Amino acid sequence: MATQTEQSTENSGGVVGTLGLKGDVFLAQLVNFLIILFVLWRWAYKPIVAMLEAREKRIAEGLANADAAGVRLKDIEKEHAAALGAARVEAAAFLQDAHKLAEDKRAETLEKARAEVNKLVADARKNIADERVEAEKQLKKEITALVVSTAELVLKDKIDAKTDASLAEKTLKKAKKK
Amino acid sequence: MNVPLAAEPIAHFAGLTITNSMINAWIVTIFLVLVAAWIRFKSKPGAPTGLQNIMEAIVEFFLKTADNVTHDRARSKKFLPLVLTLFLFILLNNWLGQLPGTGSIGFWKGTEFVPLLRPATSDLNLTLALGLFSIVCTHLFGVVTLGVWRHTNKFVQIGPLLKSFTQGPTGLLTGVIQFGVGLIEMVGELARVVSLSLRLFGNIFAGEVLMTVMISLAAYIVPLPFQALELLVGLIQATVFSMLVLVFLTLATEPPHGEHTEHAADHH
Repeated sequence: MATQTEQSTENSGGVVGTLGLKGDVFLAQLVNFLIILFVLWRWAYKPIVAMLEAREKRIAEGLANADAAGVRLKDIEKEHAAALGAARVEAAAFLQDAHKLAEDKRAETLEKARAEVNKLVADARKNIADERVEAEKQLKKEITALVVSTAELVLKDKIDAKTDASLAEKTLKKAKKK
Repeated sequence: MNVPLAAEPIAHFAGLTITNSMINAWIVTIFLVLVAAWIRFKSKPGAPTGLQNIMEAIVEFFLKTADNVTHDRARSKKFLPLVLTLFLFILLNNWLGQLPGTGSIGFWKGTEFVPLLRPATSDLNLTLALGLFSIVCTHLFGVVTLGVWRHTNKFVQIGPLLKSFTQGPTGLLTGVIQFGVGLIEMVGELARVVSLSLRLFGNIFAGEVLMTVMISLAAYIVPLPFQALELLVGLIQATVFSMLVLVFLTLATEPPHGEHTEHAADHH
Protein backbone atom coordinates (compact mmCIF):
# COMPACT_ATOMS: atom_id res chain seq x y z
CA MET A 1 0.00 0.00 0.00
CA ALA A 2 2.92 2.31 -0.47
CA THR A 3 2.36 5.57 -2.28
CA GLN A 4 3.41 6.16 -5.81
CA THR A 5 6.11 8.54 -4.66
CA GLU A 6 7.64 5.93 -2.42
CA GLN A 7 7.39 3.31 -5.10
CA SER A 8 9.16 5.56 -7.54
CA THR A 9 11.81 6.33 -4.90
CA GLU A 10 12.27 2.70 -4.12
CA ASN A 11 12.51 1.87 -7.78
CA SER A 12 14.98 4.64 -8.52
CA GLY A 13 17.22 4.49 -5.41
CA GLY A 14 17.61 0.79 -4.58
CA VAL A 15 18.29 0.08 -0.88
CA VAL A 16 19.11 3.72 -0.16
CA GLY A 17 15.86 4.76 -1.80
CA THR A 18 13.88 2.13 0.11
CA LEU A 19 15.20 3.51 3.37
CA GLY A 20 14.16 6.99 2.25
CA LEU A 21 17.63 8.48 2.10
CA LYS A 22 17.59 11.75 0.19
CA GLY A 23 20.43 14.21 -0.02
CA ASP A 24 18.42 17.37 0.53
CA VAL A 25 16.44 15.91 3.46
CA PHE A 26 19.65 14.55 4.98
CA LEU A 27 21.30 17.97 4.70
CA ALA A 28 18.24 19.75 6.06
CA GLN A 29 18.13 17.47 9.11
CA LEU A 30 21.87 17.95 9.66
CA VAL A 31 21.58 21.74 9.46
CA ASN A 32 18.59 21.56 11.79
CA PHE A 33 20.65 19.67 14.36
CA LEU A 34 23.60 22.05 13.95
CA ILE A 35 21.31 24.99 14.72
CA ILE A 36 20.11 23.35 17.96
CA LEU A 37 23.66 22.39 18.86
CA PHE A 38 24.91 25.94 18.36
CA VAL A 39 21.99 27.63 20.12
CA LEU A 40 22.01 25.27 23.10
CA TRP A 41 25.78 25.53 23.38
CA ARG A 42 25.90 29.33 23.36
CA TRP A 43 22.66 30.13 25.20
CA ALA A 44 22.15 27.23 27.57
CA TYR A 45 25.25 25.15 28.35
CA LYS A 46 27.78 27.99 28.55
CA PRO A 47 25.84 30.15 31.05
CA ILE A 48 24.71 27.10 33.03
CA VAL A 49 28.22 25.66 33.33
CA ALA A 50 29.53 29.12 34.25
CA MET A 51 26.80 29.52 36.88
CA LEU A 52 27.41 26.02 38.27
CA GLU A 53 31.12 26.68 38.53
CA ALA A 54 30.56 30.09 40.14
CA ARG A 55 28.14 28.55 42.62
CA GLU A 56 30.51 25.67 43.35
CA LYS A 57 33.27 28.20 43.99
CA ARG A 58 31.03 30.26 46.25
CA ILE A 59 29.99 27.19 48.22
CA ALA A 60 33.61 26.08 48.57
CA GLU A 61 34.55 29.58 49.73
CA GLY A 62 31.62 29.62 52.12
CA LEU A 63 32.66 26.29 53.59
CA ALA A 64 36.27 27.43 53.88
CA ASN A 65 35.09 30.63 55.57
CA ALA A 66 32.92 28.63 57.95
CA ASP A 67 35.91 26.42 58.82
CA ALA A 68 38.09 29.50 59.32
CA ALA A 69 35.38 31.07 61.47
CA GLY A 70 35.21 27.90 63.56
CA VAL A 71 38.97 27.92 64.09
CA ARG A 72 38.89 31.65 64.90
CA LEU A 73 36.05 31.06 67.37
CA LYS A 74 38.07 28.38 69.12
CA ASP A 75 41.08 30.72 69.23
CA ILE A 76 38.91 33.49 70.63
CA GLU A 77 37.51 31.12 73.24
CA LYS A 78 41.03 30.13 74.21
CA GLU A 79 42.12 33.77 74.35
CA HIS A 80 39.03 34.59 76.37
CA ALA A 81 39.71 31.80 78.82
CA ALA A 82 43.36 32.86 79.13
CA ALA A 83 42.36 36.51 79.66
CA LEU A 84 39.79 35.47 82.23
CA GLY A 85 42.39 33.38 84.09
CA ALA A 86 44.88 36.24 84.07
CA ALA A 87 42.18 38.64 85.27
CA ARG A 88 41.28 36.26 88.08
CA VAL A 89 44.89 36.03 89.21
CA GLU A 90 45.27 39.80 89.00
CA ALA A 91 42.03 40.34 90.89
CA ALA A 92 43.18 37.93 93.61
CA ALA A 93 46.46 39.85 93.88
CA PHE A 94 44.54 43.15 94.07
CA LEU A 95 42.29 41.73 96.74
CA GLN A 96 45.25 40.55 98.76
CA ASP A 97 46.90 43.94 98.44
CA ALA A 98 43.66 45.63 99.45
CA HIS A 99 43.39 43.36 102.50
CA LYS A 100 46.94 44.12 103.47
CA LEU A 101 46.42 47.83 102.94
CA ALA A 102 43.24 47.79 104.99
CA GLU A 103 45.02 45.89 107.75
CA ASP A 104 47.90 48.35 107.76
CA LYS A 105 45.48 51.26 107.76
CA ARG A 106 43.55 49.75 110.62
CA ALA A 107 46.69 49.19 112.64
CA GLU A 108 47.88 52.71 111.91
CA THR A 109 44.53 54.21 112.86
CA LEU A 110 44.49 52.18 116.05
CA GLU A 111 47.98 53.30 116.89
CA LYS A 112 47.08 56.90 116.27
CA ALA A 113 43.98 56.61 118.40
CA ARG A 114 45.97 55.02 121.17
CA ALA A 115 48.56 57.82 121.05
CA GLU A 116 45.76 60.38 121.03
CA VAL A 117 44.15 58.80 124.03
CA ASN A 118 47.46 58.64 125.86
CA LYS A 119 48.10 62.26 125.07
CA LEU A 120 44.64 63.21 126.30
CA VAL A 121 45.18 61.26 129.47
CA ALA A 122 48.55 62.90 130.02
CA ASP A 123 47.05 66.31 129.38
CA ALA A 124 44.26 65.60 131.79
CA ARG A 125 46.70 64.48 134.41
CA LYS A 126 48.79 67.57 133.94
CA ASN A 127 45.68 69.74 134.18
CA ILE A 128 44.64 68.01 137.35
CA ALA A 129 48.11 68.50 138.85
CA ASP A 130 48.14 72.15 137.86
CA GLU A 131 44.70 72.69 139.30
CA ARG A 132 45.76 70.98 142.46
CA VAL A 133 48.80 73.28 142.83
CA GLU A 134 46.58 76.26 142.12
CA ALA A 135 44.05 75.12 144.68
CA GLU A 136 46.73 74.59 147.24
CA LYS A 137 48.04 78.09 146.60
CA GLN A 138 44.53 79.49 146.91
CA LEU A 139 43.96 77.57 150.10
CA LYS A 140 47.20 78.69 151.56
CA LYS A 141 46.30 82.29 150.81
CA GLU A 142 42.89 81.98 152.30
CA ILE A 143 44.15 80.22 155.40
CA THR A 144 46.80 82.90 155.86
CA ALA A 145 44.15 85.59 155.69
CA LEU A 146 42.00 83.65 158.11
CA VAL A 147 44.83 83.22 160.58
CA VAL A 148 45.68 86.89 160.38
CA SER A 149 42.16 87.94 161.00
CA THR A 150 41.84 85.41 163.81
CA ALA A 151 45.03 86.62 165.45
CA GLU A 152 43.86 90.18 165.16
CA LEU A 153 40.77 89.23 166.96
CA VAL A 154 42.68 87.35 169.69
CA LEU A 155 45.33 89.90 170.35
CA LYS A 156 43.05 92.85 169.94
CA ASP A 157 45.85 95.15 169.41
CA LYS A 158 47.89 95.59 166.35
CA ILE A 159 51.39 94.24 166.06
CA ASP A 160 53.84 95.37 163.47
CA ALA A 161 53.86 93.94 160.10
CA LYS A 162 57.02 91.99 160.65
CA THR A 163 55.73 90.20 163.68
CA ASP A 164 52.49 89.63 161.92
CA ALA A 165 54.16 87.91 159.06
CA SER A 166 56.26 85.59 161.21
CA LEU A 167 53.29 84.75 163.34
CA ALA A 168 51.31 83.91 160.28
CA GLU A 169 54.15 81.72 159.03
CA LYS A 170 54.25 79.83 162.27
CA THR A 171 50.53 79.34 162.31
CA LEU A 172 50.61 78.09 158.76
CA LYS A 173 53.31 75.54 159.48
CA LYS A 174 51.33 74.31 162.42
CA ALA A 175 48.28 74.04 160.26
CA LYS A 176 50.32 72.11 157.67
CA LYS A 177 51.63 69.74 160.24
CA LYS A 178 48.12 69.04 161.36
CA MET B 1 -2.48 0.44 7.92
CA ASN B 2 0.99 1.03 6.62
CA VAL B 3 4.07 2.71 8.02
CA PRO B 4 6.46 3.29 5.14
CA LEU B 5 10.19 3.04 5.79
CA ALA B 6 10.77 6.44 4.24
CA ALA B 7 9.34 9.66 5.59
CA GLU B 8 6.54 10.95 3.39
CA PRO B 9 7.00 14.26 1.57
CA ILE B 10 4.47 16.88 2.63
CA ALA B 11 5.50 19.83 0.49
CA HIS B 12 8.28 21.21 -1.64
CA PHE B 13 9.84 24.55 -0.88
CA ALA B 14 12.58 26.14 -2.98
CA GLY B 15 13.71 22.79 -4.28
CA LEU B 16 13.75 21.23 -0.82
CA THR B 17 11.47 18.33 -0.02
CA ILE B 18 9.74 18.88 3.30
CA THR B 19 8.89 15.55 4.90
CA ASN B 20 6.63 14.87 7.87
CA SER B 21 9.62 13.80 9.99
CA MET B 22 11.24 17.17 9.31
CA ILE B 23 8.20 18.92 10.78
CA ASN B 24 8.64 16.93 13.99
CA ALA B 25 12.34 17.80 14.06
CA TRP B 26 11.44 21.49 13.64
CA ILE B 27 8.96 21.32 16.53
CA VAL B 28 11.70 19.91 18.77
CA THR B 29 14.15 22.49 17.41
CA ILE B 30 11.80 25.38 18.20
CA PHE B 31 11.15 23.97 21.68
CA LEU B 32 14.85 23.58 22.46
CA VAL B 33 15.67 27.02 21.04
CA LEU B 34 12.97 28.54 23.27
CA VAL B 35 14.41 26.71 26.29
CA ALA B 36 17.90 27.94 25.40
CA ALA B 37 16.58 31.50 24.94
CA TRP B 38 14.84 31.33 28.31
CA ILE B 39 18.07 30.20 29.97
CA ARG B 40 20.07 32.89 28.14
CA PHE B 41 17.78 35.82 28.95
CA LYS B 42 15.85 34.85 32.08
CA SER B 43 18.23 32.83 34.23
CA LYS B 44 19.72 34.40 37.33
CA PRO B 45 22.99 33.56 39.05
CA GLY B 46 21.36 33.18 42.48
CA ALA B 47 19.31 30.25 43.73
CA PRO B 48 17.83 28.59 40.61
CA THR B 49 14.09 27.97 40.20
CA GLY B 50 11.82 26.32 37.65
CA LEU B 51 13.24 25.66 34.19
CA GLN B 52 16.69 26.94 35.14
CA ASN B 53 16.75 24.44 38.00
CA ILE B 54 15.77 21.58 35.67
CA MET B 55 18.42 22.51 33.09
CA GLU B 56 21.08 22.93 35.76
CA ALA B 57 20.19 19.52 37.19
CA ILE B 58 20.42 17.96 33.71
CA VAL B 59 23.79 19.59 32.97
CA GLU B 60 25.16 18.65 36.39
CA PHE B 61 23.92 15.07 36.06
CA PHE B 62 25.48 14.83 32.60
CA LEU B 63 28.83 16.18 33.82
CA LYS B 64 28.87 13.67 36.69
CA THR B 65 27.93 10.78 34.40
CA ALA B 66 30.44 11.87 31.74
CA ASP B 67 33.17 12.06 34.40
CA ASN B 68 32.74 8.31 34.93
CA VAL B 69 33.62 7.75 31.26
CA THR B 70 36.21 10.48 30.65
CA HIS B 71 37.73 10.59 34.18
CA ASP B 72 38.46 14.22 33.43
CA ARG B 73 36.11 17.17 34.10
CA ALA B 74 37.76 19.32 31.41
CA ARG B 75 37.03 16.71 28.73
CA SER B 76 33.49 16.21 30.06
CA LYS B 77 32.89 19.93 29.66
CA LYS B 78 34.30 19.83 26.11
CA PHE B 79 31.98 16.97 25.12
CA LEU B 80 28.95 18.44 26.93
CA PRO B 81 27.46 20.48 24.05
CA LEU B 82 27.52 17.68 21.47
CA VAL B 83 26.54 14.75 23.69
CA LEU B 84 23.85 16.47 25.73
CA THR B 85 22.31 18.07 22.63
CA LEU B 86 22.22 14.65 20.97
CA PHE B 87 20.54 13.20 24.06
CA LEU B 88 17.92 15.95 24.40
CA PHE B 89 17.19 16.11 20.68
CA ILE B 90 16.81 12.35 20.26
CA LEU B 91 14.82 11.95 23.49
CA LEU B 92 12.35 14.71 22.65
CA ASN B 93 11.96 13.43 19.09
CA ASN B 94 11.33 9.89 20.35
CA TRP B 95 8.78 11.07 22.90
CA LEU B 96 7.11 13.50 20.53
CA GLY B 97 6.12 10.47 18.46
CA GLN B 98 4.02 9.25 21.37
CA LEU B 99 1.90 12.40 21.54
CA PRO B 100 -1.61 12.15 20.08
CA GLY B 101 -1.66 13.53 16.55
CA THR B 102 1.60 12.00 15.39
CA GLY B 103 0.63 9.52 12.69
CA SER B 104 -3.08 10.31 13.00
CA ILE B 105 -3.39 13.90 11.76
CA GLY B 106 -2.77 14.10 8.05
CA PHE B 107 -4.35 14.15 4.64
CA TRP B 108 -5.35 11.69 1.95
CA LYS B 109 -3.18 11.54 -1.13
CA GLY B 110 -5.26 9.49 -3.48
CA THR B 111 -5.98 6.31 -1.58
CA GLU B 112 -3.02 6.74 0.75
CA PHE B 113 -3.17 8.54 4.12
CA VAL B 114 -0.17 10.79 4.65
CA PRO B 115 0.38 11.82 8.31
CA LEU B 116 1.60 15.36 8.92
CA LEU B 117 3.79 14.33 11.83
CA ARG B 118 6.19 11.41 12.07
CA PRO B 119 8.86 10.85 14.73
CA ALA B 120 12.01 12.40 13.28
CA THR B 121 14.13 9.55 14.61
CA SER B 122 12.12 7.06 12.56
CA ASP B 123 13.62 8.71 9.47
CA LEU B 124 17.03 7.38 8.47
CA ASN B 125 18.00 10.78 7.05
CA LEU B 126 18.06 12.26 10.53
CA THR B 127 19.65 9.32 12.33
CA LEU B 128 22.33 9.01 9.67
CA ALA B 129 22.97 12.76 9.82
CA LEU B 130 23.36 12.52 13.61
CA GLY B 131 25.55 9.40 13.42
CA LEU B 132 27.80 10.76 10.68
CA PHE B 133 28.15 14.15 12.32
CA SER B 134 28.95 12.54 15.69
CA ILE B 135 31.67 10.31 14.24
CA VAL B 136 33.14 13.24 12.27
CA CYS B 137 33.16 15.20 15.54
CA THR B 138 35.02 12.40 17.35
CA HIS B 139 37.75 12.64 14.70
CA LEU B 140 37.84 16.43 14.92
CA PHE B 141 38.24 16.22 18.68
CA GLY B 142 40.91 13.56 18.20
CA VAL B 143 42.87 15.72 15.76
CA VAL B 144 42.58 18.82 17.97
CA THR B 145 43.63 16.93 21.10
CA LEU B 146 46.33 14.63 19.75
CA GLY B 147 47.40 16.39 16.58
CA VAL B 148 46.96 15.22 12.97
CA TRP B 149 49.93 12.80 12.95
CA ARG B 150 49.14 10.95 16.17
CA HIS B 151 45.44 10.73 15.40
CA THR B 152 45.98 9.55 11.82
CA ASN B 153 48.44 6.94 13.05
CA LYS B 154 45.59 5.25 14.92
CA PHE B 155 44.24 4.22 11.52
CA VAL B 156 47.07 4.46 9.01
CA GLN B 157 49.85 3.24 11.24
CA ILE B 158 52.80 4.46 9.19
CA GLY B 159 54.83 5.50 12.25
CA PRO B 160 54.88 2.06 13.91
CA LEU B 161 55.44 0.41 10.49
CA LEU B 162 58.53 2.53 9.78
CA LYS B 163 59.81 1.87 13.28
CA SER B 164 59.32 -1.89 12.85
CA PHE B 165 61.88 -1.99 10.03
CA THR B 166 64.59 -1.47 12.64
CA GLN B 167 63.29 -4.21 14.94
CA GLY B 168 64.06 -7.35 12.96
CA PRO B 169 61.69 -9.80 11.30
CA THR B 170 59.36 -10.23 14.31
CA GLY B 171 59.08 -6.48 14.76
CA LEU B 172 58.40 -6.09 11.06
CA LEU B 173 55.66 -8.71 11.24
CA THR B 174 54.09 -6.90 14.20
CA GLY B 175 54.31 -3.62 12.31
CA VAL B 176 52.57 -5.08 9.28
CA ILE B 177 49.86 -6.63 11.47
CA GLN B 178 49.40 -3.30 13.27
CA PHE B 179 49.09 -1.56 9.92
CA GLY B 180 46.38 -4.03 8.93
CA VAL B 181 44.60 -3.53 12.28
CA GLY B 182 44.66 0.20 11.64
CA LEU B 183 42.93 -0.30 8.31
CA ILE B 184 40.31 -2.50 10.02
CA GLU B 185 39.80 0.34 12.52
CA MET B 186 38.91 2.57 9.57
CA VAL B 187 36.21 0.14 8.55
CA GLY B 188 35.16 0.08 12.21
CA GLU B 189 34.61 3.83 12.08
CA LEU B 190 32.24 3.40 9.15
CA ALA B 191 30.50 0.60 11.03
CA ARG B 192 30.03 2.98 13.95
CA VAL B 193 28.15 5.43 11.74
CA VAL B 194 25.96 2.67 10.34
CA SER B 195 25.30 1.02 13.70
CA LEU B 196 24.52 4.31 15.47
CA SER B 197 22.07 5.46 12.83
CA LEU B 198 20.43 2.09 12.10
CA ARG B 199 20.02 1.20 15.79
CA LEU B 200 18.14 4.40 16.56
CA PHE B 201 16.15 4.34 13.34
CA GLY B 202 15.32 0.63 13.72
CA ASN B 203 14.13 0.90 17.31
CA ILE B 204 11.95 3.95 16.84
CA PHE B 205 10.59 2.80 13.49
CA ALA B 206 9.78 -0.61 14.98
CA GLY B 207 8.03 1.18 17.85
CA GLU B 208 5.96 3.16 15.36
CA VAL B 209 4.99 -0.01 13.52
CA LEU B 210 4.15 -1.72 16.81
CA MET B 211 1.97 1.19 17.94
CA THR B 212 0.20 1.37 14.57
CA VAL B 213 -0.54 -2.34 14.70
CA MET B 214 -1.71 -2.21 18.32
CA ILE B 215 -3.98 0.79 17.68
CA SER B 216 -5.46 -0.92 14.61
CA LEU B 217 -6.17 -4.02 16.72
CA ALA B 218 -7.65 -2.25 19.77
CA ALA B 219 -7.84 1.53 19.92
CA TYR B 220 -8.46 1.90 23.68
CA ILE B 221 -6.55 0.76 26.80
CA VAL B 222 -4.66 -2.09 25.10
CA PRO B 223 -1.95 0.11 23.50
CA LEU B 224 -1.23 1.86 26.83
CA PRO B 225 1.38 -0.64 28.16
CA PHE B 226 3.07 -0.59 24.76
CA GLN B 227 3.03 3.21 24.79
CA ALA B 228 4.72 3.14 28.23
CA LEU B 229 7.25 0.72 26.80
CA GLU B 230 7.84 3.07 23.87
CA LEU B 231 8.55 5.94 26.28
CA LEU B 232 11.14 3.71 27.93
CA VAL B 233 12.60 2.69 24.55
CA GLY B 234 12.80 6.38 23.60
CA LEU B 235 14.79 7.14 26.76
CA ILE B 236 17.02 4.08 26.37
CA GLN B 237 17.80 4.79 22.71
CA ALA B 238 18.62 8.44 23.43
CA THR B 239 20.90 7.32 26.28
CA VAL B 240 22.56 4.59 24.20
CA PHE B 241 23.24 6.94 21.27
CA SER B 242 24.64 9.75 23.38
CA MET B 243 26.66 7.46 25.68
CA LEU B 244 28.22 5.67 22.71
CA VAL B 245 29.19 9.02 21.19
CA LEU B 246 30.66 10.01 24.56
CA VAL B 247 32.71 6.79 24.65
CA PHE B 248 33.86 7.32 21.04
CA LEU B 249 34.85 10.90 21.88
CA THR B 250 36.78 9.73 24.94
CA LEU B 251 38.58 7.02 22.94
CA ALA B 252 39.38 9.45 20.14
CA THR B 253 40.99 11.94 22.54
CA GLU B 254 43.12 9.31 24.26
CA PRO B 255 46.68 8.55 23.08
CA PRO B 256 47.03 5.59 20.65
CA HIS B 257 47.50 2.05 22.00
CA GLY B 258 50.98 1.24 23.23
CA GLU B 259 52.05 4.87 23.32
CA HIS B 260 52.11 4.91 27.13
CA THR B 261 54.26 1.80 27.33
CA GLU B 262 56.56 3.07 24.60
CA HIS B 263 57.04 6.35 26.42
CA ALA B 264 57.59 4.51 29.68
CA ALA B 265 60.19 2.30 27.98
CA ASP B 266 61.88 5.41 26.53
CA HIS B 267 62.13 6.93 29.98
CA HIS B 268 63.73 3.78 31.38
